Amino acid sequence: MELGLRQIDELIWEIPSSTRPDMRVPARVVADRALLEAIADDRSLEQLANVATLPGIARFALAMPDIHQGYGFPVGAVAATEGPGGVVSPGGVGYDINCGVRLLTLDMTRDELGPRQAALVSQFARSIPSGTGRGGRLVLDGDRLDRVLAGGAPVVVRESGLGTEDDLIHTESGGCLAGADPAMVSVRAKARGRDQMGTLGSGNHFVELQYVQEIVDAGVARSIGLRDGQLTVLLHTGSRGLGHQVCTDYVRLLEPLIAGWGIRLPDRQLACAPISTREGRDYLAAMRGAANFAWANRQTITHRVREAVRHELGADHADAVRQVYDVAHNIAKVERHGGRDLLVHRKGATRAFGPSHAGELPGDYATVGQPVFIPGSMGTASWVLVGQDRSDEVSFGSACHGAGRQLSRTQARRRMSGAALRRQLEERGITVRCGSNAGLAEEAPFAYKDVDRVVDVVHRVGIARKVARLAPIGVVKG
Amino acid sequence: LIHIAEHTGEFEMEIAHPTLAGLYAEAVRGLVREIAESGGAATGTERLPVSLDSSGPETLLADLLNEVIFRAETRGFVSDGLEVHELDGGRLRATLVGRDGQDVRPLVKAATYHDLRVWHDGKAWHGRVVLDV
Repeated sequence: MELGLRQIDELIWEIPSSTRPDMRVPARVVADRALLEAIADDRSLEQLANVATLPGIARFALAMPDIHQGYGFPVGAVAATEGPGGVVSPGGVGYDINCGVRLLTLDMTRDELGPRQAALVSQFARSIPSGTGRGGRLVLDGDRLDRVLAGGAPVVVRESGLGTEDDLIHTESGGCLAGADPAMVSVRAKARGRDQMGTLGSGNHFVELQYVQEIVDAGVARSIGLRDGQLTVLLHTGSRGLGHQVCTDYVRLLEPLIAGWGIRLPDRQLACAPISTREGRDYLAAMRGAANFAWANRQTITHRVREAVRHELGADHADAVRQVYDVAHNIAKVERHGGRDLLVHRKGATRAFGPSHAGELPGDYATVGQPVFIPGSMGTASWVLVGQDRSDEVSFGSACHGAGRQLSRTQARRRMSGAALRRQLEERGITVRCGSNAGLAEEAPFAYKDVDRVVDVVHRVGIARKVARLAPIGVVKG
Repeated sequence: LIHIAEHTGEFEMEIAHPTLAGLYAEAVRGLVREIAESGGAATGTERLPVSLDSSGPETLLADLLNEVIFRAETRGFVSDGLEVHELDGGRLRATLVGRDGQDVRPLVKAATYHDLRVWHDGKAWHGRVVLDV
């Protein structure tokens, strides 16, 4: 399909709304030419144009430089809706509701860790259930699951001691979205999530042991607690089966109803409901519950990381594990941008608030902006950035969430076996703990775009600023 | 016929069968091939009734696969057969036959409604569904 992409800024491209009669707003892409070429042969842009047809969509549908083809929304998309006809789309949040990333620091450098590296990564693998969908170590019985759905990470910190108040301060939205209603989360969703608290899941979810390889902005790095050579731990997971079932339930519920609301969509997976309807409000209440479950999940895993550090390195080092921040990248939130209250859908996109949103940031980050984490693929670098105020104008306060896939899982498996990849990573000094060689191959570095190029675009367009580059020395995968 | 097609982020499964009931059974088999740790269905005798009322034959395809995913994730139920008792548009009354407590790869998280198709080409029934992984 010819979509008539035109350049409107050095790094911003636009498909005009006149391209298709059903587009209500333009579709924009933040990218350089090479990243655009990477999606030239797939359906990413067609899917982005489809997003621009949603009722009540404000200004433009937007894609980040890590965009790749998905279902319904492309992955790496942002869409804000508003007004009485504005809709919420479960497909615009995705199945893994509040999939996100959390960065922890250790009070130790890579050199100081030395030969204990492999033992520490092994202990992470033992402490954090990863690959199975059938349970972890913390079962939420009775009404405890409902309390987590309503209250998020603060529940597991305050009721079970799985973390600190400082962790919560350094979590987006304090680890809890208001307005969650456990009654809107189905019995099936609860059945899937009840024994998955504290588990990683499969696919591209991971725990990575890293070190600060390069500091780009020393002042900001100091403000958010990063120093050269320091060890860090990056967690990537979400709401597990509970979130997946919430999305499944509401796509199924809404799809037959949209015609009755006078909505026509080019893709069933964009199924949505006006925010003003009972069904729209019910989904938001369930989605917020799943988001809270995800924050509690990453909080529980944080506790497991501290336990592993205690086991291998001692209590002093465990007590010194500090949380830099935790950001969601599959979520819909009511936010104020340009003087308007908007429902911002981020599917594979990270919030990137600058200092003008100081009231919504931890006090110690108020002048530097919100930390943004952009993991590369397994075995390549990850980046720490901070959000900039220009993100309000360019991207509804958003930045990208990763490097973005460029090969299918099958293509990745064909190019290199998991066993060969494991050897290659180990030869580079990276300790790998992954039960499935096939799963390892599917997440190989060459399956993803160049994270440095993606981050460079984000930095140059001014929505987030580079702070530090992190290099992996250990990977635990589901 | 079961074919897993290339898709950047996900799996796109295409299936074909001479009968519509057989198409749904084939879809279950294709999904189980992806999620069973052994790479194939378990021979079992446990029977789970399935009752679905979907908006049409296409959404029924995704809803049935989501039923299989739910059973696999919550009880390790891996199916090696689907006995169809009643099939009318989006309405299905059937029995999944398989075995509980199997090792399951939690790779496929959902069957989506994206590009969902069920059609007849004059010779056989065909279906296409994108699976979220």
